[in-house]
Amino acid sequence: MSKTSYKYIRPEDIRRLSHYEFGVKALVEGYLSGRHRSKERGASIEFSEYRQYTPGDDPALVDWRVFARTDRHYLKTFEQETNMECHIFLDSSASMGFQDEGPITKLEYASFFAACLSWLVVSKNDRVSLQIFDDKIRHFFSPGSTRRHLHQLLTALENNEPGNETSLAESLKRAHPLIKRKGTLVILSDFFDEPEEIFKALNPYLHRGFRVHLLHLFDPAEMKLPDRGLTRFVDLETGDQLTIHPESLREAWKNEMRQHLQSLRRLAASRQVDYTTTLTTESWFKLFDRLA
Amino acid sequence: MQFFLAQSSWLWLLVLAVIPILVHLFARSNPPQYHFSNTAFLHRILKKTARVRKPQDWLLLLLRTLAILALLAAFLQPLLIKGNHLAGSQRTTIFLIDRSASMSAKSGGSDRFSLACQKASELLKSGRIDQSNIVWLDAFPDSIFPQPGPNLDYLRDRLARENVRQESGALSSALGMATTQLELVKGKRELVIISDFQHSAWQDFKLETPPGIEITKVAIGGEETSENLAITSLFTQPAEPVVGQKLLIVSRIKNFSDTPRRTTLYLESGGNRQSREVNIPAWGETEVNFQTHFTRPGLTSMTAGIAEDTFSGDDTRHLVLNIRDVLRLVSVAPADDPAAKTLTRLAASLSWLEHRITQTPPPPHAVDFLFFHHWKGQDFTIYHEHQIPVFAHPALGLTHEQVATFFGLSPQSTKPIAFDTKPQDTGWKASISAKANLDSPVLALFKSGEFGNPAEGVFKNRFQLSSSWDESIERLIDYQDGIPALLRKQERVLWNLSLAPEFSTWPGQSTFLPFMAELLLDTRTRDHQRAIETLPGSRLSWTPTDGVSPESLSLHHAQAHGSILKTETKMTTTGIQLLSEEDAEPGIYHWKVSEGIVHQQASNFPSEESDLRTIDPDLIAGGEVVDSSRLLRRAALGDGIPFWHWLITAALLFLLIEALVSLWKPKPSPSA
Repeated sequence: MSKTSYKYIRPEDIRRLSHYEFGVKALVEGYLSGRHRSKERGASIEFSEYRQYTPGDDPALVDWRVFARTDRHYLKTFEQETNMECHIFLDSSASMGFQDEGPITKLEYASFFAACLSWLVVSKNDRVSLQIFDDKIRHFFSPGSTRRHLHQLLTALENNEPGNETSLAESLKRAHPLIKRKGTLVILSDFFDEPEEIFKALNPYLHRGFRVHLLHLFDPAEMKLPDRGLTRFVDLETGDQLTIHPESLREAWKNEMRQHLQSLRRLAASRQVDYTTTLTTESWFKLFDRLA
Repeated sequence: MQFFLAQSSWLWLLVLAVIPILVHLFARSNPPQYHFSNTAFLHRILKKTARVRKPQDWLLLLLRTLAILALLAAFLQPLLIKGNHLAGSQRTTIFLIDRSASMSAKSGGSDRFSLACQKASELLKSGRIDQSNIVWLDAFPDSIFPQPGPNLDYLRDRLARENVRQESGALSSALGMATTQLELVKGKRELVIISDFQHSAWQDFKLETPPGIEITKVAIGGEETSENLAITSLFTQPAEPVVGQKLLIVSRIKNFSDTPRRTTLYLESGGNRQSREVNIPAWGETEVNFQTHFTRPGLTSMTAGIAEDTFSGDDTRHLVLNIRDVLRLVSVAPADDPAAKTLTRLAASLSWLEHRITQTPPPPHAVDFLFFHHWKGQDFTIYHEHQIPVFAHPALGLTHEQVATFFGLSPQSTKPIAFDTKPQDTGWKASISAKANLDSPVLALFKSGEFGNPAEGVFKNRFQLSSSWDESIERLIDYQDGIPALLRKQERVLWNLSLAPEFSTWPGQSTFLPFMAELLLDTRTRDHQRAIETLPGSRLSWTPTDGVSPESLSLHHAQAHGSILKTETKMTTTGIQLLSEEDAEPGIYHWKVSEGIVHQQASNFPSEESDLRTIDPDLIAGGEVVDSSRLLRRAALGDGIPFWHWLITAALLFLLIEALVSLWKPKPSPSA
């Protein structure tokens, strides 16, 4: 790698990241044995559970001792430690370029976090992939764990600009065939999309056993509307214009946002998906706590 | 019940009430832009709250507009007037409105009179007056109603239609008319005088009214400049010259300002136009003379003018002059009186003199000189009023007192004046009095002595008049022993020189004719007030001379494009008199038969109205000075209820409701 400094990863971040561990609890599917637990049968001797035999299972895995006691066929499964795959979905729609009360745009915030996460994953010899999307997938970087791969990701993040409208659901649908192995899905977005649609698109991933983290990013002004007089609001994505007095709609806006978040949270909980909100004024390192 | 605004001049403030509406309209049209991450939620919220939010917006706009309106209205100090009646008393107000010529002076955009009418109209509208009347202060004051009446709308209508008159103001007469009308009514009585309080008219006037009449003085104008240049008089010397007589046309221009002025005076007379540059000192007067003579008898008109200034009414002056072919000397004496016959012979020698002997005094209009032989103290007041020269030759038994009365002096002895006679061959001689003013025109010819003694000859009788006379009496001829022979005071001449041939050799002397001619013309010269002039404000009248049919006469205004004035006929002792239906305004008027002018009359701007300076009404004794706005306020306050504080309360209430409404956030409709 010829480049030694990147916009979205700084030396102090690297120092701090050295104290973090990613994917301790995550169950991964990979080729590197010993580090992460895997539900694939392998060389591991770590007992997992008993499972009733179903046609097609390997008869060699049947625990005959249990058969002797219970007269039923059970398989004894072991957890296999393997290397982890982390798939980062970075929303780069125009709305992510919004910045008012926060120090940086949401996209910059997300890029900082994505860069750090990528470094962390690669530093642990795990594999990381990156999907930059708006209404479609703009860039897809297949999973990799090399320094060169990390350099490509960081460079892509640096060159990334806010684009068109958001369609997370569509992007998830399109990315599904591209991701071969299950792993951890980290989605960084402002989620200005219908919650039901998002989770509908996530279902295939969940079905395949992906662990999903939804990181919902906000500028503080989006939580309560900016303190302004009569203003013409121009939509960053659609260019749509609307003249309102924010003060008169603040409560309704808060209420609407609350409902939107509740809806996302409820759906996430029902599917055992991790859902976290963060403000661009907060440190992105707190998000690693959620991922740990 | 009606509203009244004490500060109506601030009515324009109400325009500010459109500010919230304009803000509402224009602020929404171009508000600042703000790029936001997502407006879809905002659209959704708006959709949910639209049902409540739009009415809320309009309600807020209404409340803000009402609050501002209430605040602005409070500044106007509105008053609520409950009805027109005060408990137990009726209010009668008479407005004495000055419409004399000085009220045509411009004050701001309009003239003083318009302002006066406007103020009176506002007061009439104030609603506190039960009955009223308007007395016009002009040359011939009159009132709109014969007595105060309740039809205030009619009075206001008349105020809107009236115009200022180019007349002087008869103050006492107008005040008398107003107070007489007020004395006839009961209840609260008020006299409101609205005038410019012109200094020349009001400085010595005292407002004296019967008790119980409240006088209020409302001054109009006075703030504007009172600078004015005016032709104050135009006359000729003599007033009625005879054909060929040298005539002096005198015009006086007065400068009513602090700075010297220069102007051009022009004189139009009989188709000729003469002009002269004139300098008039500050607050001074300049006299401009033109000399001319006329070759044909009859009436002729002339106009003097200067460049128009802001007060234009007095920039021209007119004169109608009667050029006489002969002057009429009438002797009141027995038909065969020898002295009278001497005058007949005198008239025969002078082409411009006509003599007639009559035993009864003639009417003033039929005589130019009256020679009263054998005067026994008869009253000459009627001739004095018409400024006709009267020569009075005393009769036996006339007292000193009667002579003193003749000259208007204080009564002296009631004893008869002694009458002296001389024997046949002797007599008294007379000559120019040692006390005579030799520069007097009548003596100018004789003062060098070249033309001899004007009273040459011997006089065999005379009256023993007192030798000492008041300074005002002009001594022309004295007997050698100091006894006065000819005394004159203005147009009154006391004659103590016998004209009868048997008692005097004077009529036969060569100096008799020129002296008598000079005496007659000079005595008449003093008269310059007898021009044919009608006072502005009075009606033009003329009694047609014989041979002119009244039906064929029409009256024309010479300046106003010859417009015809309506006339009416009136029977008088002297015949049918024609009267104009309208009052005379300054200008020249022609009485015409067909296209021929048979008579002319002139009417002039009253010169006393040219001085536009005003006096502080406080300096005029009597009454209270109130400016019109204060009067209106007092009128309303007296009978009305101020409610500006209620408006302030209402404004605060509106603002409170506005705050509550704006704080109230509608809950989005769950169905939306």
